[in-house]
Amino acid sequence: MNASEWVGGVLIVLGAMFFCAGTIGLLRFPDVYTRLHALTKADNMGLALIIFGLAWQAESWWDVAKLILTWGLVMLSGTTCCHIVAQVALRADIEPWRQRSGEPSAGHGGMPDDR
Amino acid sequence: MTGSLVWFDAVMGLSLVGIAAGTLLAKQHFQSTVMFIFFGLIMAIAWCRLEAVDVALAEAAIGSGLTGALLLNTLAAVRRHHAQSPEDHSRDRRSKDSRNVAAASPVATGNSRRLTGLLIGAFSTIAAVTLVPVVIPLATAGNLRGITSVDLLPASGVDNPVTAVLLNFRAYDTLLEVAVLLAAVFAVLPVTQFASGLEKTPPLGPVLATFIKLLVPLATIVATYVLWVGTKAPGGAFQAAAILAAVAVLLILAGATPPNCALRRWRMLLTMGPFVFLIAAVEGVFAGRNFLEYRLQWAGVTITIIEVALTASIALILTMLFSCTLPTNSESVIDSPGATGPTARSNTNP
Repeated sequence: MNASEWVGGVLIVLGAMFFCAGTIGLLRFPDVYTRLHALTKADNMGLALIIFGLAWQAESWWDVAKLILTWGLVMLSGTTCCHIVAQVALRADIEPWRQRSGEPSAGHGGMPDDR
Repeated sequence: MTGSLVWFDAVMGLSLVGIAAGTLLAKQHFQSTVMFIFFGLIMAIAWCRLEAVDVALAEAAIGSGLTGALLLNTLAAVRRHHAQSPEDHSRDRRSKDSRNVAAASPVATGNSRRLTGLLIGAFSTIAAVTLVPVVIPLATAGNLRGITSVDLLPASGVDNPVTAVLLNFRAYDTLLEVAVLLAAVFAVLPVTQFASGLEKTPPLGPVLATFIKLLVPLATIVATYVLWVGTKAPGGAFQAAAILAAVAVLLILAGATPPNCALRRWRMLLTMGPFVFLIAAVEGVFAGRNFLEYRLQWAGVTITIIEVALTASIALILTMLFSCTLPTNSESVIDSPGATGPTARSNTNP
C-alpha cells in the first residue's frame, strides 16, 4: 500500500467508526429525538468521511462527481427524514426525554445511569 | 472474487437469512415490516455482488421501497380500523378479519408463529444444504446447453442481456407478469373509495416541500435515463416505472391527489403497456412468425416502444396499488377531474 491508499483507507475507517457510534446511539439513547440526533449526526459525518476516502482513490473526476452527488442526495434525504420523524413525534405528543433528578432513567429505554 | 470479499459475502448471506428469520418471527407487524424493508436493501447489495444490477435496482425500488410503503400504509389502515371498532367482535366480518391480521399476539398465536418460523427455518436450511451440490457444479460448468443468452444477443435487437431475456427470449414471462399486475390493480380499484376523497393530512412544512421540489425533477430524469439505457446497460421498464411510482408516492404523501381511475384517460394509461405488448406479440402471428417473435431488423425498436409503454402503465399501476391503502375521508368532496396535476405529469413523462 502506498501513501495515497493509506489516506483513503484511514478516512474510510474513520467513517465506519462514525457509523458504529451512530448505531450504538440509536440502540442506547432513551427517546426518539436523541436517537435521531445520534443517527443523523453520525451518519452524515461518517458518510462524508467514506465518500472522501473513496473519492481520494477514484480513478476519474467523473467518479468523484458521482460520489459527491450520492453524498448530497443521502444528506438531503437523511435530513428530511429526520425532520419528518421528529415532527410526527412532536405531533403525536411524545415528550422529549429529560433526566429527572434522583430517578433512574432505565425505564426510558435502558440508558446507563452514570450520575 | 478476491479473498476479503468472500468474508463480506459470507456475512451478508448469513445476515440475509437472519433478517428473513427475524421478519417471520417478529412479534409485532411493525417490526416485521421494518425488517422486511431492511431485508430488501441488503438483498439489493447481494444482487449487486452477483453482478445482477438490474435485479438489484428492481429489488431496492419495488421489493424494498414501494412494497415497504404499501405494507406500512396497510398496517396503519388496519390499526385505524382496529381503533374505530374496538368493541365489535363478530358483527362486522371485515373488522374480524383485520383483527386476525393484526392479532396482538396472544400466547397461542405467539407459540404457533414461533413453531411456523422454526419449521420454515429448518426447511430452508435443509433446502440450502441440499441445493449446494446442485448449484456449485452449475456455477462452475456454466450454462447447461453451452449456449447463453449472451451468445444470442445480436439476434435480440438490444445490447443488455437482461433486457434481451426479459423482452425477447422470455417475453412470455414478462407479458404475463404485467398481466398479473394489471389484474391486481383491477381487483383493488373497485373496492377503494376515492370518490369520497382522501383524508386531509396537515401540510408537512417547508422542509419536505423543498425536498420534493429538488427530488421530483431529478428522479424523473433518472427514471427516463434508466428506461433509455435499459437496452444496453442495467435498467429498463420495471426499474424506471418503480422510480416514477416513487415520485408519484412522494407527491401523494405531500398532498397531491392520486390519479382518478374512473376517468377514461387514466384507464387507457393503465392498460396501454400490456396492450402495446400484446399488439407486438400478435403481429408476429399475423406476419407468419411465432407469437412474440419480433421482426428481426425491428426487434430493437419494438422492444424500446414496448418498454416506454410498459413504464407508463407499470408506474401508474404501482401508484394506484399504493394509493388504495391511503386513508379516505367520507366527508370530503368528490375529486374533480382536473385535480390530478402533478402526479399526472410525473406519470406521463416518459
